Amino acid sequence: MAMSARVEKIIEPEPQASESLVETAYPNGENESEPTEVKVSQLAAKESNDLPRPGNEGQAEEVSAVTDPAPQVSTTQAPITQPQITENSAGDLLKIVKLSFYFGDNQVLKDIDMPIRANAITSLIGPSGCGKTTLLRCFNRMHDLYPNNHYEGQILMEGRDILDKGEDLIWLRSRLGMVFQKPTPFPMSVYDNIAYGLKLRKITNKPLVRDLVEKALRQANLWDEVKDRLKESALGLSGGQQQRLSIARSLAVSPAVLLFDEATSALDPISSAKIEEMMVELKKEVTMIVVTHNMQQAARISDYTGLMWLGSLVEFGQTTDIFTRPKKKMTERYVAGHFG
Amino acid sequence: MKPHRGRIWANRLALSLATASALFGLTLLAIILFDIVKHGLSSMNWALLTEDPAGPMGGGGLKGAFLGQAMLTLVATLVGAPVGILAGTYLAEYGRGKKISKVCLSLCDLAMSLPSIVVGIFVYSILVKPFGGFNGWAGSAALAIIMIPLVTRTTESMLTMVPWTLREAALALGSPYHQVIIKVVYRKAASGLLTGVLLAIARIAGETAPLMFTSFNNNYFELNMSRPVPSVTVSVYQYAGSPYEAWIGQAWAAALVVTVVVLFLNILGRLTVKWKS
Ligand SMILES: Nc1ncnc2c1ncn2[C@@H]1O[C@H](COP(=O)(O)OP(=O)(O)OP(=O)(O)O)[C@@H](O)[C@H]1O
Ligand SMILES: [Mg+2]
Repeated sequence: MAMSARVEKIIEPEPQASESLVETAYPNGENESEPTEVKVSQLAAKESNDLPRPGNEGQAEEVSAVTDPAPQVSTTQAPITQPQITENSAGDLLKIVKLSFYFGDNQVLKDIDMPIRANAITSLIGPSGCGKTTLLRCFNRMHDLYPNNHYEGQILMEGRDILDKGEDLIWLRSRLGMVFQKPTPFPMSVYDNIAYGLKLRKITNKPLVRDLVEKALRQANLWDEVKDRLKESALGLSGGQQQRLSIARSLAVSPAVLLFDEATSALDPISSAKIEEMMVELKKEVTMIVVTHNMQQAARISDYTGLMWLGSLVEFGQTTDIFTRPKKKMTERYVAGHFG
Repeated sequence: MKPHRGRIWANRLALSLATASALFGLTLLAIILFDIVKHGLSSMNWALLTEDPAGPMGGGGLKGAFLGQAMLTLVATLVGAPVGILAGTYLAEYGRGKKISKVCLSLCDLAMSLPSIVVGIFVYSILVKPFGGFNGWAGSAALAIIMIPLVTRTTESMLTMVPWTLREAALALGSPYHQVIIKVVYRKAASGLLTGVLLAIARIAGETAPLMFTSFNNNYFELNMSRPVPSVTVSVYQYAGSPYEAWIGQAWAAALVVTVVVLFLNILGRLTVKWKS
């Protein structure tokens, strides 16, 4: 379903060089790794036959029934920034269902229900310590790296519960990339930074790797700045460039979702602006979830916004609604900067 | 006003005491080095490195001892460095924050301050006596035992210095943890790890006591590790205690060579850290 939603949005033709090679590069086929550049026409044709849609209507209604604060994203009108997204809730790539999370005995997320629309930017806002990072790290199961915590509830993605104990985390993390607050360049060349994730997926065909590296760097708006220094250490890049490199690194493995945790908060305004611009362009190919303390940023780039407070989702809806006509008093006060 | 003035004087006193102690230490070091250089240079010649030992009346050299020491050190490093790095990796990565790593680190510190002669006697009891004689393997084992806690400690602290988010970033790309360690963490800490190994080599290259009980010494050229293997440090010890002018002179010269090598390794180790950062 994600794929059908995504393919509709692909407007520009993809670089030809990699097109023919991609299919062989992902041994599991498109259903597993989902390369972004399977032939557009072919898929557009497929789309009319209606791919199986795991996130079907019945399920969606169930979700919105239990979601008190969340408005029916499905039926309301599209946000101004992205008029083409007008689907019903079948366009949701992820669905958080009654999610609770505990660090030991300490419940940090409480009964969260929230849809994540495909090919849109969803931002999570809320005062410090309300659980935004914790929620974001549920999506790629980063919490599993540490002992003594547990999830309750579900996060559904294409019909499967990604919080399932048996989920293949390596696969999952290749589908949902993450960008951290501080840039995290690996101590190797710019090129090898990007190729790192490709090698993990056994993509070693040299010309193909080169193409994918270039494509990822272009997507992250970094290509022009680093194309002459691909062999140099990534540690020599500026902070903003390093952050875009981190983004390119995640993009190289064609994730379905990118998770940003205050990814621009450590950067200067120009670098942040470049990243924001890039994110808006990226919507064609990836779904993004963005944690930010910057209200203007949330208002500028996101299509949907969720306000969290003390581990609960207070209100969720289209960004324009949240910022101009919130349903809850608390949301109104928060976006006006009265607390948090 | 008064307490202020007092503070100034206290500060000056502390500063001058510290400076005086530093100067005292440096002067001693300079005198020792000067002495070694003076005596060493006067007996230094090529024969020292290229010829077999001759009688106490002069001539000959310590070729076998130099080669033997190099071999003992090499074998010890080949065992000690990987074991130390793996142990340090366990403590810093898999066992981070666990009780067992804290216990191990304390034991490591203890082992580092163990007098090396104790290691020598220990190895003597398990690798020399049961096997009926001094041998090179025992010498290398003793040196490796001294080396392992050193390398473990430096590895642990170098890996701990690598920011945790770097690991998370690699894990978030879907890497298995062991690959994150090998491809990202080791690389980030590479110069530190190298420094740790170099400093540990410098430390064992000058050891005498553990070798006296293990590989002992050999007047003949011997590279068979199951026999007593000659070494410079033990030779220096024996020659310096002999009544013969020529041997005492060779002891000085050999001591100079060992000093220069150890100094060089130390400087190299420190430069590696600088060069990377
Ligand atoms: N590893 C942890 N162990 C225990 N409690 C934790 C851990 N990490 C976070 N918490 C707690 O969980 C709550 C939510 O933290 P979280 O980091 O998700 O907040 P946040 O909304 O991202 O805040 P900020 O905006 O400051 O980044 C906080 O009360 C925090 O103290
Ligand atoms: Mg946070």
